[in-house]
Amino acid sequence: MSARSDRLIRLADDARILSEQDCESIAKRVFAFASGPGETYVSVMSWWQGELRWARNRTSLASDRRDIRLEITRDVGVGRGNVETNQLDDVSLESAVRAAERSAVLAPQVRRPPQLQPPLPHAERPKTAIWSDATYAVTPEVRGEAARALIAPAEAKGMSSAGYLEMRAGSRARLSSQRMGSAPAPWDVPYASWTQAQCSMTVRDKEGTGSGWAGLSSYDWARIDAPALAARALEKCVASQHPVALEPGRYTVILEPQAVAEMVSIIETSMYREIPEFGHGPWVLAHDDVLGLWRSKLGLKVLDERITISHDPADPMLGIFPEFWMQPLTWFDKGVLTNLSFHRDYALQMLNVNAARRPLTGYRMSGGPTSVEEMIRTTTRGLLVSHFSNIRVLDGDSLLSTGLTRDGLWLIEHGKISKAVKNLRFTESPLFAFNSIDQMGEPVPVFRPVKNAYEENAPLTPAIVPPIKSRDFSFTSTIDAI
Amino acid sequence: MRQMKISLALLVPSAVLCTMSASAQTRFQWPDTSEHVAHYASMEECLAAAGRVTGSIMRRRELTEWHDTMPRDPREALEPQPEPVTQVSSKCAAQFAEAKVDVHDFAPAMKLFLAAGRDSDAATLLERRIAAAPPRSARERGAVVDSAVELYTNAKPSRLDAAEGLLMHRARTSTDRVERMKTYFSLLVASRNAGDTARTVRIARMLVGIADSLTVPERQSDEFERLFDGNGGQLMIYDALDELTGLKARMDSLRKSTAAYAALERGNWSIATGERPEALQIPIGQRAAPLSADFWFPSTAGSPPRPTRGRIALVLFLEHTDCIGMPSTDDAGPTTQCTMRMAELRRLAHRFPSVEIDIVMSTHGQFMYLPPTSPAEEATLIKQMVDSYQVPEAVLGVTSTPFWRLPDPDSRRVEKILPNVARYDFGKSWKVGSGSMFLVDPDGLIADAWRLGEDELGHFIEVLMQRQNKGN
Repeated sequence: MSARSDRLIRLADDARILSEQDCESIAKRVFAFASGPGETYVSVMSWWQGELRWARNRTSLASDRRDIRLEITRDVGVGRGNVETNQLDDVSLESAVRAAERSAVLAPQVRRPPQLQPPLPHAERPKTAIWSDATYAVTPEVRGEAARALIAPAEAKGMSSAGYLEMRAGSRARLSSQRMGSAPAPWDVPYASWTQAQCSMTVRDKEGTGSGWAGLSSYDWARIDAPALAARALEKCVASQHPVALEPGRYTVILEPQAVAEMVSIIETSMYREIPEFGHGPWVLAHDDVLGLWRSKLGLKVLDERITISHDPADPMLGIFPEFWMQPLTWFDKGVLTNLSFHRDYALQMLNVNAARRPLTGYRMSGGPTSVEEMIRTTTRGLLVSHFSNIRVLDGDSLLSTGLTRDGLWLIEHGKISKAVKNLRFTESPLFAFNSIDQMGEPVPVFRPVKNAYEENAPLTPAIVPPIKSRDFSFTSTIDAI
Repeated sequence: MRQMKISLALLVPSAVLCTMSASAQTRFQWPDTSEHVAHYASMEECLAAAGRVTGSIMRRRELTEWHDTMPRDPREALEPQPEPVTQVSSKCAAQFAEAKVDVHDFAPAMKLFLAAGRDSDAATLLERRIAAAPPRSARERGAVVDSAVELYTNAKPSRLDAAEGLLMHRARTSTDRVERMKTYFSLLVASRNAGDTARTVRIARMLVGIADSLTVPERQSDEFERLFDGNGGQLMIYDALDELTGLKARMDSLRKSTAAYAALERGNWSIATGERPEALQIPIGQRAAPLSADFWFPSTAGSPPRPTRGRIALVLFLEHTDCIGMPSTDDAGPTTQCTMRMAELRRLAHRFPSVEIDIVMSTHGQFMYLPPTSPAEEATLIKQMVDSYQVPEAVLGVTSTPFWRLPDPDSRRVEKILPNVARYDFGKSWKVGSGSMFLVDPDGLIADAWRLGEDELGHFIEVLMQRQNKGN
C-alpha cells in the first residue's frame, strides 16, 4: 500500500475531506483496474462532521467524524453494475471493480446505449457560495467553548437548556473513464466542496411552564451569532412562563420569520406543473372542456402583491449546491404565480423544450419596512408566533393545514405584549394567510438545515424570509404542551 | 480462612453468571431457506409460494417466447395451470382442512383450494361464508358472491360452471331486472374471455330476453345509464345482439355487400339502443375519405389518393404517445398495444399481400428523447420506427400537426385536430384513437372499424377478396 493511499484512507486531521487531486487520483486507480471495454464512472464523496449536543445544560454527545464513500459503476455491454465501498487500498479497489463487472454481467438492466441517451443541452453550473473557511476551521475545542458560552447564561438563570451545534464539510465528484482530462459531460459532476453549519437551542424553565427557541443555519459559521441566539432563546423562555389559556378563534398574528418559512414550506410541495395539469393542487384553475386540459393559475395573482419569492443560485446569502438546470427564477412575482418546476420529460413532451426546472427549495422572499416592534405597536389584539411544529396538510387543493405553535406564543393587546399564551393548534391555509397581510418586515435567514444533505444528495433549503402580520388567522384548539 | 470463604462465595455466582452468559449465546446459523411449503403457517404464505412458482414459469416463458405480439388465445383461460403450481398449492394447502378455516378468510382460502384442485372444499367454504352473512344483509351476500365469481373466473382453468351457478342463482332470486342484466353481462364477458362460445351465446340470449322486457322507466333509470362503465346498458344489449348474430351471419351479410352488412349492424344498434339505425357508432358503410399527409413514405404514395379505389385496404391510425412513447429514458418506446397492433398488421400483410396498408401518423415536435426536431426530420424518424416492424408494402403518411401554444407563462403545446382524424370520426362520439383500424372495401366503403381483432379481420378480408374475385 502506498503512503499516499494510506493517507487517503485515514483522512488525517489536516485533510478532513478529499481534495480535487485526491478524487482524480482515486478515479484513475479505479479506471486502471477495469477489465475490458465499457465506461467506468467513479463517484467520490468525502465528508467531515463535527457536532455537539447538549441537554439539561450538560453535553450528551460530542463527536468529530469523517468518512469516504466511493461508488463504482461499470458498464459492460448493455448491463450496468454498481458497487460502493469506503476502502481505498489497491486490493479493495480491484475487488470492487470486479464485483461491479460481475453485477453488470449477471444482472444486466436493459439500458439504452449511451449514444442514444437524451442529449442534454449545454449549461453552465452556477457559481454558488457554499464554502466557508470559518466553518471548516471549527475544532472540537471551539465547539465545546461555544456550547459552554451558550449554556452558561441559561444555567445562571436557573433554566434548563438543550441544543445542537454542527459543522460539516464535504466534497463530491463524479468522473468518467472516457472524459478524464477533457470537458465533462452534463451528467458528470465536477469537483465541488462545501461547508454547512447550524446552531439551535431550546431553553425551558424548571417548572416546565415556559419555553424559548432560537436557531440558525448557514454554510458560514461566521454568519451565525451563537450568543445572540442563546440570549434570544433565554429571553423567549422567560417571557413565555406561566402562560394563560386563550379561546381559539381567528386572530391577527405576527409571524416571526421562522414561522413564515414554515408556512411557505407547505406551499413548496405544490410547486410542480404536473400537479395542476392533472387537475390537483392549489394551482389548478379549471378544466378547459374545449381543449380537454386543465388550466393552471400560472400568470394569475394568487398571493398578496407584496410577496415575491425568487431564487438566484448566485445569491451569496443562500448557499445552494451548484446543480445542473439551476437558474435564477422568480416563482411568485408580486403575488403572481410565474413558475412551477418540471422535469425534462415533461418539457420535451408538453413544451417541446429540451430543458428542466428544478423544484423550489432555497429561496428569498420579499419583505417590507415594518419591524416586529412596529407590528406589535400597531396591533390592537393579536398573537405573536415564534414558530410552528407538526404541520400537516389537510387538503391538498386548498393547502389547508394544521399544526401547533411552539416555543413562545404571546397575546398582544393595545400595542403591547400583555401575556404569554398556551400553545394553540392552527387550521389554516398559507394561501389565506399570505392573502391577508397587513405588514411585512425585513427578510432574514432562518433555520433550515438538511440532515446529511450532501450524503443523501438532498437539495439544501436555505431561505431568507420576513416577519409578517396577517389578519384572521384561524386557531382551532388549545394545546397543553409548551 | 474466613477471607477465603468470602472469596469463594464471590467466585461461585460469577462462574454461574459466566456459564449462563456463555450458554445464552448461540452461533449464527443461516436460516433454512429451502422450500418447505408444507411448513408454511398461513394461507397467504401458500399463495405467495404458488405465485412465486407461477412467476418463475412465466419469466422462463418470456425468455423464450415473446407473447406480447401474438394474438390472444381465447381458450387459454380454460387450460389447466402448470403442474408445478398445482403441486405447490396442494402440498401447502394440505394442512388447511376446510372445516377449520375461519369463514372470514374465505377469499384466500378459496383461492388456495381452487389452485390446489380442491373445488368441493372451495364450494363448501363459500356456502359457509354465505350462511354466515346476516339474513338481512343482502349487500354483504352480494359482495361475497361477487368475490367468489371473480375467484372462479380468474382461477386456472376458469370455473365457469361454478361462476354461472352463482350468478344464475342471483339472477333468479333478484327482482331488479337492471341488476340481472348486469349479472348476465359479467357472465357473458367471462365466457367470451374463456373462449366458451356456446355458453356466451346462451347468456347473450338471456340478456337480450331480459332487455326486451325492460320498461321505459327502467331503460331511463340512472341504474341503466350507469351500466357498462357509465356508457349505458344499451351497449351491453348491442354486444349481446352481436354475439347472437354471430360471425357467420355477419360474414354472410358482408359477402352480399357492405351495404347489407351495414344494414344488419345498424338494425342491431337500433334494437339495442332505440336510436335511429344511422346512429350506429361504428362507421360501417360510410365512404372512406382520402387520406392527406405532408410526408408520404414512399414519397409517391399520396397519388392517387389513398385508400386506393379498387383495392381492399387497411387504414391504421397510430398516435405519438402510444408508439413513440414518453421521452423519459426509462419509459421511452412503444406501448405493448402499439407493438401488438403492428405485429397483427405484419401477419395480415404477409397473409394477404394484395391488401393495401396505410398507416397514418402525425408529428409532435419531439421524438422520444431527442430535442425538438423539424417536422421533416421527425417524419423520417417515424418512418424508421414503422420500418422496424417490417410490415411489407406498408405506406406511411405523416401529417405535420398544427398546434398553438397557451399564453405565457403556461406555454403548453395544444395540438389541433388533424384532418384525417376529423374525416374518419364521421361526427360520431366514438373517436379515432391510437390503434383504430378501418377495413375498406374495393368500393371505398368502410366494411368495419375499430373493434375487429386479427382473426375476425382475416375472415372479413377473405370475404371481401371472394367478393372481389366474383366481381361484386
